Amino acid sequence: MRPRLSPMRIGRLCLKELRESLRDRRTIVTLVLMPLLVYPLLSLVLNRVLLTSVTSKAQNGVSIGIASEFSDSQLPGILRLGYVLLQERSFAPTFIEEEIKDGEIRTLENKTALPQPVLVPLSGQGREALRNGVVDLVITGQMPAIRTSAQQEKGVESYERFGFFEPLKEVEFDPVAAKELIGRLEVKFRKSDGRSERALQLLERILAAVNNEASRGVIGVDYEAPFRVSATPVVMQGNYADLLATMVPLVLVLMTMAGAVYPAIDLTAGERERGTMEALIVSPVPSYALLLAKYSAVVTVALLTALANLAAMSITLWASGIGKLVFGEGVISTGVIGTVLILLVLFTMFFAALLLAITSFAKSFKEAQAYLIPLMLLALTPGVMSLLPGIQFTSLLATVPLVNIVLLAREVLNGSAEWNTALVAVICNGVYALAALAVASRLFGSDAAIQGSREGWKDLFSLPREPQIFPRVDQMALTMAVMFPLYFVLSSALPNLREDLGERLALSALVSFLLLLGLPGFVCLVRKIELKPTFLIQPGNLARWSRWGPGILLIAGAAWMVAHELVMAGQMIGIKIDMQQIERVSEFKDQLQALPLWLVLFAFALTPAVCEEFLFRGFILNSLRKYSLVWAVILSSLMFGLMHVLTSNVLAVERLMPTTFMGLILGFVAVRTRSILPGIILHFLHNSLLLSLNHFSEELKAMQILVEENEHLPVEWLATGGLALVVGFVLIWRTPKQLDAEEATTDSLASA
Amino acid sequence: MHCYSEETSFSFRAISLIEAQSIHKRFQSSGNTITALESVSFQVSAGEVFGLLGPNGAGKTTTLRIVMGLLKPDGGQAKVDDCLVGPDLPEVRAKIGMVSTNDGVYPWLTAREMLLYFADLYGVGLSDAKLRLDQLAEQLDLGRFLSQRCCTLSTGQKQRVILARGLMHDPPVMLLDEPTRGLDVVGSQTVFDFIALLKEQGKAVLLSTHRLDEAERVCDRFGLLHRGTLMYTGNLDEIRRATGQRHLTEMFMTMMHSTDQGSCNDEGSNECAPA
Repeated sequence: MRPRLSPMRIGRLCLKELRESLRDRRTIVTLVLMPLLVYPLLSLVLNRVLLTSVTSKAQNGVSIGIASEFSDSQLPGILRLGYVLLQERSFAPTFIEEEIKDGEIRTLENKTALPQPVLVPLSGQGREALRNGVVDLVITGQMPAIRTSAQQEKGVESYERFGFFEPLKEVEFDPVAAKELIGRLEVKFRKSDGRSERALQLLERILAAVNNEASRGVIGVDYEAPFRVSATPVVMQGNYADLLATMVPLVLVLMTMAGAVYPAIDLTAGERERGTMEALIVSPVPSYALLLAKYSAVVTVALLTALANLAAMSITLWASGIGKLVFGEGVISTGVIGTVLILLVLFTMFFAALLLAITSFAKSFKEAQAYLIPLMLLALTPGVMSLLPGIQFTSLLATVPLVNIVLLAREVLNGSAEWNTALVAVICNGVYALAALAVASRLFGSDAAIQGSREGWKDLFSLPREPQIFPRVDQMALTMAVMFPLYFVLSSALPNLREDLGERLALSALVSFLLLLGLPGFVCLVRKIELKPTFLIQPGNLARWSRWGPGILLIAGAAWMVAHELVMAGQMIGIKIDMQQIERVSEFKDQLQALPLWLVLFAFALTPAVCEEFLFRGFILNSLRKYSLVWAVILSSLMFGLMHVLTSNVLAVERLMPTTFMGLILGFVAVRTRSILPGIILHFLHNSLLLSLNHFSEELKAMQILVEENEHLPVEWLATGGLALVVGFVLIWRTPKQLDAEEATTDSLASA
Repeated sequence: MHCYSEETSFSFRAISLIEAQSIHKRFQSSGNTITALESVSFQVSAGEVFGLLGPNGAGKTTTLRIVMGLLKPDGGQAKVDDCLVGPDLPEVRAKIGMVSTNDGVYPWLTAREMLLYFADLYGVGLSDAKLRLDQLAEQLDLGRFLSQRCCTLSTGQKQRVILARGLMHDPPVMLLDEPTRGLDVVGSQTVFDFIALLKEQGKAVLLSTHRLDEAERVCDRFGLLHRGTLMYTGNLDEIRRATGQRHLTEMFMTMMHSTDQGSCNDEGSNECAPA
């Protein structure tokens, strides 16, 4: 009576683990107490840091930066004059407009309430100085521009290098020269920053006082237009926003890690320490199901921690005003918080698996903690590295665990996330999580785990004694976890290595052979996995080929039509091809046309056909087949599709559907024929057909045979293609009776 | 349920629930090969308590692990209720209940939750499991503390919960690995009562212990294990006849002495065939 593993049952198993974890006081401490303590403390520190750095040197006043454009002008004089005028109460202007708007009459406050302005001469436009809080306001220019000065905007702003507090040149106030400045002054201030807004208000008052005075004929003659201010708010997205945008996810990630650590240890090493592990292992439930339950519990607890932390952090940022100060209004929306949460989910899924892989073979709490402390330190290093200013979210960093999620979250908070790198980060994270989970389930069930010796790891790395027919899932997942990032990094780095397209193609073929073919082969040799069944190395005989051959030809001739229509269907449901990418692709196609056809066929038909068939239809499909043949085909084709979405530097989402479709066909062929060869030939023919069409596209277009890229194919073509596909399928599906009998014997041999 | 169809070549009793057939097991330890078990064979029938006796390190726990399918033997095979341990592992495990010295409880679950959880692990439906729980609560006197969290239970109460855990799925075979180690007189008595209960219910019990006085009290048949070899098997009278000693303790001393002399190395030379 083998008990069935229904989802309900797995759910009940999870519930027990969760119950056990959540009733434990120590879990509650990390879950509730930590966020309650950490964030207020953190906000205190942050406030301190941000305020000291944002506060200008003029402690009691506001500092007004004057761009280099005005360095020799009368502007400082005018401002000084205005300030003096303001100080004298009798000349102080009243702000009638404002007061009418408010519906009540307010007189200007006591003159001591006026902030003291400090005029800071700046070299350049002063944007940096404004952002860093050196000045609260910058007068950047004048409209209409009277001067077109050559020194304007030349080079880098150098207020730091030359010192920005050298006194302004005392220029004799010249009413005639001051007249040149009459008009609209362009001013920049920090949005939603109290000091900056006060400075703006002061400037307006100063200029109003000057205007007031001018209208009374004191300054000079020919006064037509008053001074006005045209103010542009600058949203603070400078260094501090960057720093905080990295720090927020980093702190969240670290807290989530802290939340996951305790349940992970408790549910594995803790279980062993309490003496309940053996009873669990000897139950008829397979150990991977037990591990899955534990995994879900750890992920859930970690996510609860993440949620608690996210809430505490959002409230802290909002309440302390830091979020507003740094991100401006409305930047932290529910969408952004939601995205960050999703990223945290992804990270948690990876980290929980990693934790379980490590704690699964620790025999006691102490031992597990001893293993985890180095891991936490190790995790901290890349985390802190991502805090360094100027770290770009490159495709290379997108493959580094932890760093990729922190940086991606930074991009999301900054509003500058890109799909390409985001998807790489997400996929890498998923692959790593699967690999870690596979290792964990292997270690968790091993007998060494129960005895608590270190055999678990030895078992994982020591050379196997007995040969194995097919690769196991954990071996496949680990291989992919190594291969995917490597392949991605290498294939995106290739274009930078060589200029010549031919050499580049040769190199990329080399990379394909080494990674896609070499790595699984290497794994099989080292782990004593039999190559023949794993890679379906079986030539087949003449009787079989008499059916396979025509079948393959028919499918290869027709499959591209379906693929083409799938791309079109994808466009209909909203998968748009990026215009830039279309350009790049067509440019690439033109480049290819210049190359000899044999080289193109080698690089884009033969190499992928051989490497990808051995990898996807051999190694991957066969590692999954013992669970379900259908799912093995579906999963391997999905992986096949995903791998093609991310090749090279572009994100080709539109390739997912047609490639997955091809993967299904090829998977079917491999499963039915039990040989890798038909798939290779089919794959090669399919690719070659498309490449040749491209190579001779000019000629074909001239003959009016080829249709344009984004048009539907003629109905007659589709009908013929569909028929060809069906006939091809039938030919491969139905093998003659005597062959079936023969296969049955080989089957029983393989399963024995 | 019949899961292994091969004809058994020899059978001493009508219903032999546990069968070990010339099991060999070697361990690799820092380059040395240690022989843990050497051609160990025995049977346990329904309603019989078989005591696997031996000093520490004799291979008792290893034997139990092999029967449970936690370890793979290097030679020979084990069968539980005619299911071969190995290929039919889930079936085998569903038929075995297991209680060992080091077993513990989940501190944050109540006794009821823990027992129902284990019933669920063995695929017992909830209503059946509740019936079984009531039954066991009565037999093992758990009723008072079933809804308490296990961390609040006393040692004796925990022990009874653990014993109940092994029986939640009503297995035909029970493996007890040093069940009385570290227990006081009352605790040991609970275990003896438990074993009596198992016998009464017609279960095949394989008990490993190094407490010979206890073994004499509760076991029907014995297997004397020394350095991985089963020196004698049989009931007390048979072993007495074979060794010429009256008490197990004395037999043990002779046995250990004789192996040290190297006179007893012939495989199976001293084994006495069961009647």
